[in-house]
Amino acid sequence: MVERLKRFFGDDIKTNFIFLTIIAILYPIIYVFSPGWGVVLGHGVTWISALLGFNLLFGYTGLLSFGHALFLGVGAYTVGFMYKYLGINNIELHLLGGILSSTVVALIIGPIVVRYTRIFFAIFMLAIAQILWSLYYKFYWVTGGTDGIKIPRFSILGISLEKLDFATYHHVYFYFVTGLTFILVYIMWRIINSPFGLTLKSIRDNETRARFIGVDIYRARLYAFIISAIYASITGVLAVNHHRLVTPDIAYWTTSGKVVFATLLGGARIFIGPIVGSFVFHIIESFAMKFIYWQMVMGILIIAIVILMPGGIAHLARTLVDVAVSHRRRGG
Amino acid sequence: MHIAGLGKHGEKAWYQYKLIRVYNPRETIDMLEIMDLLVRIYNIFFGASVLFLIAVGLNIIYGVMKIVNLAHPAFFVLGCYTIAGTGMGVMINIFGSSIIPLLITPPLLAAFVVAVSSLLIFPLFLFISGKGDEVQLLITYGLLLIFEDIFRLIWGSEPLRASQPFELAGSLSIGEYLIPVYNIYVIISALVIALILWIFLFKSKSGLLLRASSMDIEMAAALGANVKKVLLLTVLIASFLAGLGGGLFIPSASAMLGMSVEFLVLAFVVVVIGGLGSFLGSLVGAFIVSVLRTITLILFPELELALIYIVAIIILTLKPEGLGGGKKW
Repeated sequence: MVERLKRFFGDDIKTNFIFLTIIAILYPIIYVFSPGWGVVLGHGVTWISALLGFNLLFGYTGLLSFGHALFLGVGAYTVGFMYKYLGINNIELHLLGGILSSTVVALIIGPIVVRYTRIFFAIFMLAIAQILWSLYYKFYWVTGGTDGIKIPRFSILGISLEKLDFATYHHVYFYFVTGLTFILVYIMWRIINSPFGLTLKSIRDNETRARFIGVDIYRARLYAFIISAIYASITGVLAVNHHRLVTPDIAYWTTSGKVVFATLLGGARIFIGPIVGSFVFHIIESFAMKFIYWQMVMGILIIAIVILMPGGIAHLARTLVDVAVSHRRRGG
Repeated sequence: MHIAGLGKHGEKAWYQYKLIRVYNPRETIDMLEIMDLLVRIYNIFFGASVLFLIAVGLNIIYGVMKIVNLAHPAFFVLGCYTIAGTGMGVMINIFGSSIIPLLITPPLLAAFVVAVSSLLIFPLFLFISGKGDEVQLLITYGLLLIFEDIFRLIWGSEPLRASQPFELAGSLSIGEYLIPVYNIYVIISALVIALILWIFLFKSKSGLLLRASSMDIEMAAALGANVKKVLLLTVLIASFLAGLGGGLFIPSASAMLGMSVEFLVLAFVVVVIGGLGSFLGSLVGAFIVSVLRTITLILFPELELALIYIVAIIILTLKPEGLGGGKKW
């Protein structure tokens, strides 16, 4: 019983699917009562991909990146450029473009940064993200600077959504992204439970031993880095299609902070963590946004989570279930 | 953004002019005259002084406590805001426009405020020293986020200036160039601070204790050093230096939100180039980064950070221990 519940809270792919399905079922009800919260759920489902990617790198490989906004920015500006210079607004092509461009960027940056771990990796990522942000900002005749690039509603398989009213359009967006997220979650699950995923965990737990048994650490980290980049760029692509505006903000260091915080909140190292984290984060954010000192709240919560509950919400839920079960058993 | 009558290229040029209006006209090297070169060299020294004051604190904290304090540049910015937001107004009320007190007191006030506020964070530092890297990075990152919003909370999101000492000190004119006297004052004070710090670290008993703890903290404790006191001293000195840096720097610039990260990224290159935890390294590193910054600002202003980081990565690949020679202190 305990084992089954434990598996249910985090170590089973079914839980993730059930959780996402519940959200997908609740979404129309919530949207009817309050469209605002419907949009918040839309944000939540959009960000899952980036958080999964971040968790692969941080939770499973042990590389803490403070610059994941870099890849969100790459995805976002790929969409921006595809629309601005090629007039493409098919979301499938956007996703394809985002995946390709982030792979290229990860192949350029990855071989350099994955040689370093810990603080060096963290700050190199932060610095490279800041460099890219400053380029988006400074090359304004290409990127539109702070005004950004406005993009129209996307079209799926050539069907334009321009004529729909906002609610229907948002429903289409939400279910499209949810469907995509199911696929992404499944792929990530397969990656983490493959021999490759086990290799990554072994590197995280003990680098020296992993090297000793013949693991090519550099290559494994590089692959993890590229996968993580692709996942983050997918969120970049989706997020700008949701906002319909590409600005340098998405590549700024505060976005990286969001990614770090949301993953920690949900629970790093636990598979379901990022998925829970993304929704909880956006719900907290929409409350806290009224309070303009939102970053301060985020900072305090990061410190509190790291000190008090390093496993995040997913771990907390698991512990609570454990306690409840053992309590009942003792009572019976 | 459209400016009437400028056309596409004019718009670009206007935008570039706006970006680099401070001190870096885009000229090629052969246009540089000797005077020009002098101005640049002096800019290099100014940049290096500021970076040194941040990086040396980062290095001292890393050396003794083995914490890479991501919030360290926020100490520097706290110093800036203390003066620009509140301190300078008070100073002017007290001293009027007499120049000497206005030069000396703001940095000291900033350093004092920053050192006191670092006392509040000290328990957190004690808690994370000896914990894993991830915990340290995340907690100091959280602190950085908190600091950024504290600045916004207290001083608002508008850029703040405290340029009175800068204006009062006037400027020397060499040829057609104007060199602000204030910046010379900053360079000289940074040199004096570096000298005092060197004497403290290498000639005094507390400095000896500090260096000993950085080499082997358990051994130092076993030999009877009060380690907690040493750690407190470390944090106090580091934050004091960052505050001094902020107080010295702010009259020639303006305090803005987001500055902490900007300086974190720069200070980190300094530390990488000079070697983590090395006093000499931070001096060398600050100088090299400042030279690189000045050169790239002349040649390719858009790629300033990128080129600095490329050099940092090359140095890290060739000499992983940094140019400080891997030597402690």
